[in-house]
Amino acid sequence: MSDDQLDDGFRDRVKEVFENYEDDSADEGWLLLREKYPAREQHDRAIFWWRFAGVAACLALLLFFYPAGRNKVVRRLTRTSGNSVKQIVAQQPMVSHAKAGSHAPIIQAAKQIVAQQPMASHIKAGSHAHISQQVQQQPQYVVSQSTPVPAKTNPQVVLNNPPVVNNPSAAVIIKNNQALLPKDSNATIYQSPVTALNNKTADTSHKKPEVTVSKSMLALFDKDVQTGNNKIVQKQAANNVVFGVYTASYVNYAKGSKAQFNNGGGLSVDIRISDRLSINTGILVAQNSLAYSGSTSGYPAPAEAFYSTNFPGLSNLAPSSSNQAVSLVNLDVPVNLTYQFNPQKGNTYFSAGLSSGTFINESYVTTYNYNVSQNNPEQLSQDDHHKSFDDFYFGQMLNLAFGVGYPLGKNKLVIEPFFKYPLGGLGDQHILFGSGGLNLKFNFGPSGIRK
Amino acid sequence: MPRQPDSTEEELIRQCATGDLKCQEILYKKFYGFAMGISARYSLNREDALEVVNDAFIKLFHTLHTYDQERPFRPWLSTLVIHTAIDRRRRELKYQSDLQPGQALMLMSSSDTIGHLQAAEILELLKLLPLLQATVFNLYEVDGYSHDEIGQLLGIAASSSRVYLTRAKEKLRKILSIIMHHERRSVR
Repeated sequence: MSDDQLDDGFRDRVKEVFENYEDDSADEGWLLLREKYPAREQHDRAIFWWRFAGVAACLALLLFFYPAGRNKVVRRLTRTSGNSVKQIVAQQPMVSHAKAGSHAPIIQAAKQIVAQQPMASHIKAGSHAHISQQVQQQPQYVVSQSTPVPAKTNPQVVLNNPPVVNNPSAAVIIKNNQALLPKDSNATIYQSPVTALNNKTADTSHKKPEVTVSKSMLALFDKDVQTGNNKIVQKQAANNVVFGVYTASYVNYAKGSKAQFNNGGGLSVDIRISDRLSINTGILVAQNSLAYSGSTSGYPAPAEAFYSTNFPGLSNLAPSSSNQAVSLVNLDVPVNLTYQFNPQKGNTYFSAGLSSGTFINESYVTTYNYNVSQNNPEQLSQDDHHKSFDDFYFGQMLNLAFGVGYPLGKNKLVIEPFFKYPLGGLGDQHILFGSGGLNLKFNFGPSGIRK
Repeated sequence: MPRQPDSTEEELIRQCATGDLKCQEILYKKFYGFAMGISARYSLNREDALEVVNDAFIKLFHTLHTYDQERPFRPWLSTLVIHTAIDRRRRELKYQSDLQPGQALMLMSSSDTIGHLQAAEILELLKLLPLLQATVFNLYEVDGYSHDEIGQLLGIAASSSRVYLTRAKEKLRKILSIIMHHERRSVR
């Protein structure tokens, strides 16, 4: 029998035997597999709940802090409205004039009355504070107040012509105002202007309707002030949440890895919770790369020596060195607490917090180097491993940053050096890596400046 | 010609991809023998082979949703088992036979010709080869890999793969010649 016949005969026999290989231990094998497999199922379920909990916690944090910030502004505004009406009107002259429109003369008359009655402004202040509070608590009421009334269209008539007083629409407004105002303050508020108005018009025959006219006028006046207040609320609320875009340039670091330069970008949201404190969150898509290199074979030296002597072929299976390139694109949701050093200027701050998120793409490329033979000293082999959205990490990264802002028109440019420190291993291979670099932020609107 | 999956096999695979445990069990048991036949040739012992098969099936169940139904299933499973076995071997350094050619003769004394070699005998025979040679022999001669593919899989040069194959065949020839000579003498 020739060598080829022997080879072919043996090969064919091996194929024949193993293609129709039968093994009756399938049941035993399945039971062994099930020992591993359910554990994986439970692990998957745990991952799912872990991810779900992470997302829920992020949302809860956002929802918790966002309304808190808004309420604080409203409360602050309510306090502000404790000042005299005149002051508020003076603070918002453009709003008053623009919105007053056709009833500007009424406001003018009211101003004159107020000027003549210094106490009135004080009394009114109290009443407006009350109104303001009630308006904040019942915003739908403000909407109903904005329904057009005849007084708007013809203010002169309202002042001088008694029949307008009997207009049902005007009466509705009066009624509404009475509902809003405390009973005892009602009389105090309206008596003085009425007397003043009576003196001016020198018409004492229709005292009751005159009171109603005053109420109507004041209702319009209140409405005007409220419009101004609403504007302030809107403006302050708008300042309270500031959106921005930013880019990040940084260096990734990890033990055993070479430092790697990377970039990222995202959106940021600043939610003010007090004069000095705000919550900073957002979303960041960032590239992270690490490069590891190892020169050892990975086997114990005596074992390597033994196998290379006795089994040269076997020793070739062990790589002489390996390099690993890790590329992680992560979707990061930071939640940081920001402390403003100077709330008036709002241009420097310090922030600290934690990041949660997931990896859009994880790539681990391991290159093995083999010393095969004298003639062919080095061969390479690559092992690629990719994953996407495999895991959610929650609060696994500590963020520290210091920011300096520069106004750019109505907007603001912020330069923010930052440092990220890992609190746990991230990614499929649980790598402890961090980063340090510079964020360049562009905030829309004058964030952080308290007026 | 690779066997295409029939309709019931296709349906079974589709059900497995949805995570149906019962179907997965049926699929496992249906292809267990086939997978063990491959795994046994690349493994040190039966336990090792069984672990390779199970690891390969776990990978399969996790990646079954990516399986292209147009492609034949068996070669796909075969590739999965071979790669799992080689990965396992690359990581773990726990092999080499203590068998000597004499022991092989004892094992194979009941076989009169190559054509009657049984699976256990073939496995024992392959264990007499250095691991890398046996692996290259299996990959090239039995599973139809090219030297380039073997080079990529094992991280060696294609030329090295050729060398290992030649050495493996030489050694097998020597052993088989001894066995056959022994058989002839025992017949006389």
